[in-house]
Amino acid sequence: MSSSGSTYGDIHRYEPARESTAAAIAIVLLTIIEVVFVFLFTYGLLSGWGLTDTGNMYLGAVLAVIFIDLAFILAMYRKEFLPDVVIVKKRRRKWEDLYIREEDADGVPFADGAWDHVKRAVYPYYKR
Amino acid sequence: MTESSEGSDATERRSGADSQDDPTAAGGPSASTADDDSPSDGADDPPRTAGGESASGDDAPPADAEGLDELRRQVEETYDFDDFGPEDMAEMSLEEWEAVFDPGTWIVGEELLDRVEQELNARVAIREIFAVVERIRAGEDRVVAYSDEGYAIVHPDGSVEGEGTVLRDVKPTVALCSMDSYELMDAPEDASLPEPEAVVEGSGEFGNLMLQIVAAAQMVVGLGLLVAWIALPSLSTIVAPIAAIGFLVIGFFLFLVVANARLSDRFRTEEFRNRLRALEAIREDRPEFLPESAVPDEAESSSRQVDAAHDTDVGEDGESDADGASR
Repeated sequence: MSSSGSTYGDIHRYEPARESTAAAIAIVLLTIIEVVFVFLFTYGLLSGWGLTDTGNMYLGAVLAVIFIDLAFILAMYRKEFLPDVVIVKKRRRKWEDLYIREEDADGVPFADGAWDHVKRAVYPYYKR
Repeated sequence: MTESSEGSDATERRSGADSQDDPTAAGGPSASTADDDSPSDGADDPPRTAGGESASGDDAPPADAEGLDELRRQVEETYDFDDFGPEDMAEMSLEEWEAVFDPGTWIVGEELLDRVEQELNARVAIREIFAVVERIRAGEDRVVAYSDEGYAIVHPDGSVEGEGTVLRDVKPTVALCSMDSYELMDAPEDASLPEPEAVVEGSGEFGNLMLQIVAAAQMVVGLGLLVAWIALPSLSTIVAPIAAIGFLVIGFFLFLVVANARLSDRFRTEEFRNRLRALEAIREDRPEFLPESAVPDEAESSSRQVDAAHDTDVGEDGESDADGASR
């Protein structure tokens, strides 16, 4: 059920980030590991570790650690260090909305022109 | 028939409904409850109709009651309430439905409003619903929830009117609260939306700092690799510039994430504060879309003070009234 009136951009919930101690410790450790491995990879690449079989595997493993570690940092950041926000957005058309009425075939545009769409995507409070 | 006997009858029916915990009893027409109650009711009080029949049954002649019993038996034979689906419901006629429907299985009246009020407050406290919740006891007892963009009014018989997102959020709460088997959430002491000034900006700044350290490291390494590839003649592998560009892209992306987080945080806190301020403003003079029935009469609107005796008394009355009204 859609609500009447323009509620686009309304914020229903804004809870500050949790920032628990455990998460803070975890993200610090992960950051240290990330920085160390990034420099280790670069050093290894420059000193030609990759030219031998084992060294090549070792460099690959280091690169894998870098990416996996980065993934965990981002997950932790999203979960614990971003505020919990529920915001009203334009409902995009779904398959079940198609062909209900002929005049609705193209949906209801909420902006005019492509550039306006870009502006609204960047800043939802632009000209409400 | 006096009010007191009506009340005790209602209590009896309620306890009968209480003893059944399975959700089908709460969710559908409870055939078995009507069954259990009818013998005892009949013995107590011969002219009254059995089980599910309520206030309006008072003035029904006995002949009608027998017909109703007949119909009820018929319906219980025809339909299998342990396996009752929408198709069965569509097949049922209104008379059949009303014969077996037992309003005692649903919580209505003042108790429903109490439950709804507590549940709504709890949901506002966990920010699932954005609204001001008020109990208005002047005139007809009701719970009103409204925000700057919608409202919902819950009546003792469980009907809800209103518009907007508030209505959408309140409806399922009322349905849940009318079920016996649903356990209410505990509302904290201060179950209201925060003060506009209490909304803190810039939470998660520590996370931003960590992300910036990671991004800076990636940028440094990326630049270093690129410079080394250009400057060192010994390093001729194509892997070096590709890795360099990879690191630079990651670093740039992470900086972008932090910038976006800070910027949107600033806008969002401001927007949330504005909305809370708007809510505070309409608290004093009600929004014009709120109908008359949602506005308390000046003196009697002090809702919270109810002594226990009054509470229980009115509880039963309200219930039987609502039963009568729903018929």
